[in-house]
Amino acid sequence: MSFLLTVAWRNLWRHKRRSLITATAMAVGVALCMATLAFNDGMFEAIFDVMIEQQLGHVQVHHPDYPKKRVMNDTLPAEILTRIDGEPGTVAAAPRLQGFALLGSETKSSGALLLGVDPEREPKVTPIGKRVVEGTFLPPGETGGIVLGLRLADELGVGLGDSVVAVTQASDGSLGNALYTVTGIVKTGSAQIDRSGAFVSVADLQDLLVLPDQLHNITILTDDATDIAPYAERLRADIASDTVEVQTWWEASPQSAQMMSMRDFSSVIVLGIVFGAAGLGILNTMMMSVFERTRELGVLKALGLRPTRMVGLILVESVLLASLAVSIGLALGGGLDAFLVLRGIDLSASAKEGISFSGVVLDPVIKGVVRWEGVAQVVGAVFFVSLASSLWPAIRAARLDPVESLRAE
Amino acid sequence: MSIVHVSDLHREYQQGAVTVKALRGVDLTIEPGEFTALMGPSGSGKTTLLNMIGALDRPTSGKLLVDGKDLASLSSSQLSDLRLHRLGFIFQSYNLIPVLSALENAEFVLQLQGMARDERRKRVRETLAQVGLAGMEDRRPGELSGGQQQRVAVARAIAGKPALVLADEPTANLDSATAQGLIELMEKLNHEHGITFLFATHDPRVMEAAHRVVRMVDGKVAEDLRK
Amino acid sequence: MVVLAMRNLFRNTRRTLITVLAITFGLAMVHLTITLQTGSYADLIRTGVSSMAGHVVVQAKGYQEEKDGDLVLTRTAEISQRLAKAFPEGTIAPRLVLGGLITSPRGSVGAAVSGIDGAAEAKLQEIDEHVVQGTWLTGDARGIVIGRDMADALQVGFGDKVVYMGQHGGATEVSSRLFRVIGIFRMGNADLDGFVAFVDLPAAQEAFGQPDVANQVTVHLPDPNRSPAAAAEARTLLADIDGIEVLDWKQALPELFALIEVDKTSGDVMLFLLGAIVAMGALNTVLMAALERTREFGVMLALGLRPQQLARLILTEGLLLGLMGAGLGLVVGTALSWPLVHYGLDYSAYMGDTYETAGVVLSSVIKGRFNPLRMTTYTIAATFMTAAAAIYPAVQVARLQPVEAMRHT
Ligand SMILES: Nc1ncnc2c1ncn2[C@@H]1O[C@H](COP(=O)(O)OP(=O)(O)OP(=O)(O)O)[C@@H](O)[C@H]1O
Ligand SMILES: [Mg+2]
Repeated sequence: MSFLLTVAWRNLWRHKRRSLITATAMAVGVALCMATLAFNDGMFEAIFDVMIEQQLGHVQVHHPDYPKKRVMNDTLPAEILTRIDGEPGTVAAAPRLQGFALLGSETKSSGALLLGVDPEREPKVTPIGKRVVEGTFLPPGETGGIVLGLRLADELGVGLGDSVVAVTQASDGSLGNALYTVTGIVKTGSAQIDRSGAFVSVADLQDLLVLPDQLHNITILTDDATDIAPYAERLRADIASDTVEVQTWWEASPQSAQMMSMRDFSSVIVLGIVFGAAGLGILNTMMMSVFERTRELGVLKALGLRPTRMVGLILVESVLLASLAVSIGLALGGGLDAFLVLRGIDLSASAKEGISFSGVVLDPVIKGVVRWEGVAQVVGAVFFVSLASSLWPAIRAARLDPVESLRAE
Repeated sequence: MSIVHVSDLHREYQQGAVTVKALRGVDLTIEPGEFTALMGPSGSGKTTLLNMIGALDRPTSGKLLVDGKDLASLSSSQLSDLRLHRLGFIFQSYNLIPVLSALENAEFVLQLQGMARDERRKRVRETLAQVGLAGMEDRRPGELSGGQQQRVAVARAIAGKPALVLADEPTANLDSATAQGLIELMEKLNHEHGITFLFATHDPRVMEAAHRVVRMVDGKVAEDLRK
Repeated sequence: MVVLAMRNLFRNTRRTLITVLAITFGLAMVHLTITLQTGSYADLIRTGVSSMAGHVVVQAKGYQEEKDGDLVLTRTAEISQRLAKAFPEGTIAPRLVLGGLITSPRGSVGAAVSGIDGAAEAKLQEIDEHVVQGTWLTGDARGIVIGRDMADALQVGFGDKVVYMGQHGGATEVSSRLFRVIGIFRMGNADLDGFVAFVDLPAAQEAFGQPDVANQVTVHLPDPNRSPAAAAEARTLLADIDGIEVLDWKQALPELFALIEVDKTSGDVMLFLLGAIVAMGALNTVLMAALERTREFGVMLALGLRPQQLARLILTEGLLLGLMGAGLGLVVGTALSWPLVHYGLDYSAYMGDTYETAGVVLSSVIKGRFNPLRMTTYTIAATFMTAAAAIYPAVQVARLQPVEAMRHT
């Protein structure tokens, strides 16, 4: 092996320029892919945060008709919550009740989605507590507070400490109303919640909608995010019925799951395009490297180098080339990634509210996120492409007829 | 046991529509320790025969035993191993690996054989000293004269202690004095170490030094002279 | 010279072909990207402008900044008439959007109720074609068209009554207005289907509590590029009306155009780097082709050829390589883009029937559109990039000393 390594390494430096150009081309590809992936992942992370972490948790429990039809009376009994708490593997469970209401300040009103949450449990399941930009989230144990989405608060023209009136039609058909005091303002990144969402305590909303001890859904965080299905299976066996449905997050929102698979799809496309182009470069370099050495390789063969080792020799050469490319590429790409992660791409000049995509409002400064799997994919792709494109030259080298190649020139 | 046993060996080349009969029934046996020259006019099949014996090319028909093995029955990997462990080659145009130093060129056959580093280095240094290249171990082929390069090639061929060294016109690219030196070197190796040599050559000095001269004409052995 | 260069290139047919293939592949990807970009931008702009703005947008001063639904134009009819007269070829669409609550006896939903000219919008948007039950707006002052999901949540169907409640225009009381569902649409977007309703403008004005008001009067022109000029015209035309602002499409939808700009820029960076990767491959080929002929060049120099002539030969080789690759790339790229233009790229497996970006709801089948200008530009750029890659080898060759060159092996 060390012989193969020595010969391969020196051969690479025989055409210093050619090797460097080839490696640089691949390195630019590596850097380009790394930066694209970091940018994409930054966007997907934001979408993931809003679509899944904030809204879906790991497992959802609700009335089977509720997600589709949103009929107010399709509820769950609140006592189910204690049974979920008792289920092994439950880290935390948060109940929710929802209803639309007209929220009004002194002079303005707006249709709003009231989200009745348990002030104590909610922050343990979703990152909502971290999205508060003003004031605090609902104080545990108290009632009468309300936390408004940023743009809703703007539209109503209210701030911390102001009162808002909620008017809605209760489940019994009566017109209910209630007065709440603004304790906080949130910016969640969800276009809908920021524009029309308002959090109140679940007890308050049960009163307003006249749905005592009723819930619309329960969001659960389990102890193993990577292996949710068995937990959901167990819970389903324990509590599912005609009126109680248990779903994992991807069952609850296949759309979100598809969005996430799009992440992989688009990385594959980028990798494919870039390394398709770079691969042809390596193929050419390795071809030249084999053909210009026909005689030399023939001698090696005549002296008894086995065909398999001949393949090895050429492949080692291309792996070395790839390693060189990866080192340069990681340095370049690392720099770009660092810029994307630390500084991000600032669009606030033209889109100060941020850019919305699939109901998620992305921050106007889009920051990259580096996933090690992503970097590993890129590096893997370089080696794969180098090996794949030098396979043909390598096999040609192994098949060289020593007599023919010695006659060459 | 003879080291090479060839009988009724044929080799035909297809060149477009014409069939070139390079060998037409060669019979030849070579015993260990012989120092044999193959001669004959250009195109008489010397190189072709050496290539057959060197397991570089396969005959069209006929029997070919090298080192006791029937080459027809060996796979290409087994042929590689036979070349690696039992045969040594010296080519007309040296054919050293340009990226390796003199030492490394002679060494890598041993390396492929799997010899341990220290033993290998020692052996190669001795061998290079034997061929008169002590002190030039670290030069690359481009920094050596033709004669010196051919000596490295000789060192490479004999370092692995082969049963048979095949040399195709080893002196053709060398000036007279250098060629003489090389012949003496090979004679010495034959004499002192008992290495078997088989040359293809036009060089009268080689024929003079040889103990046995096989003359080929038109792909056949026309004369076999032992001195 | 060209013949000589061609012969030289095809001395090593395999290498030249691989290089040409790399350029072809890279450029085909470029054309594909451009086609897809052009198509999706056109779609995004067309849909975005027609549904959310117009080529000329007249609205109350400050509305663009604050998006406050209470900021209204008060002389809508007059403005519409004057615009209609000034732009006879255009479509005039006034819009008044009310945020409030729609209730039925069985549920309530927070909604954005758009008061529009049904006939004008039918020309501009596709929503009327997505009515799955009943009809589009007919001018019936009590008629409302709602989304499928909203109908489910309210548990209402065609012909049922719903009540809109809202508080607008500085009123101190919540007012309500009865509507009858005359149509139900399904766009495949959760936001539209769940939270948007359409009524005729006069009905919305009544619900608002003031006659002749609208948030915007929009003008839609057959030639979108006239937008800035038309906006300027409208500005003079309406100069006598106080408290209004007149915007062109880019001013009205800065977020949308910012998004496109960002996407285009990042696309360009990516394409440029892809070009660089391919050009390095070409550099390698031309460089190697030049270096391996050093001896030959030495002879030519010795025979009296001038160094510049040699350099020109190398440059011609690069140019030819570029021409072949770029030409083939154009052909292959166009061929590959053809299905995109005719059938589109179907993302619906990932995103559902429609997806939302920058507030615009678009079909998940993204149709490409040929962009001859950009395709030509990139083809020429690629040719020159390849030719430029030959500069370095050309300079190297021009510097050769005949004696040394002839000694070269
Ligand atoms: N690969 C081949 N294809 C076709 N014909 C070949 C091939 N190799 C050798 N020949 C032919 O076979 C015959 C013998 O060639 P060979 O090289 O063995 O001759 P030689 O005795 O070594 O001659 P020289 O003294 O010139 O080296 C010649 O006629 C030659 O043209
Ligand atoms: Mg010969």
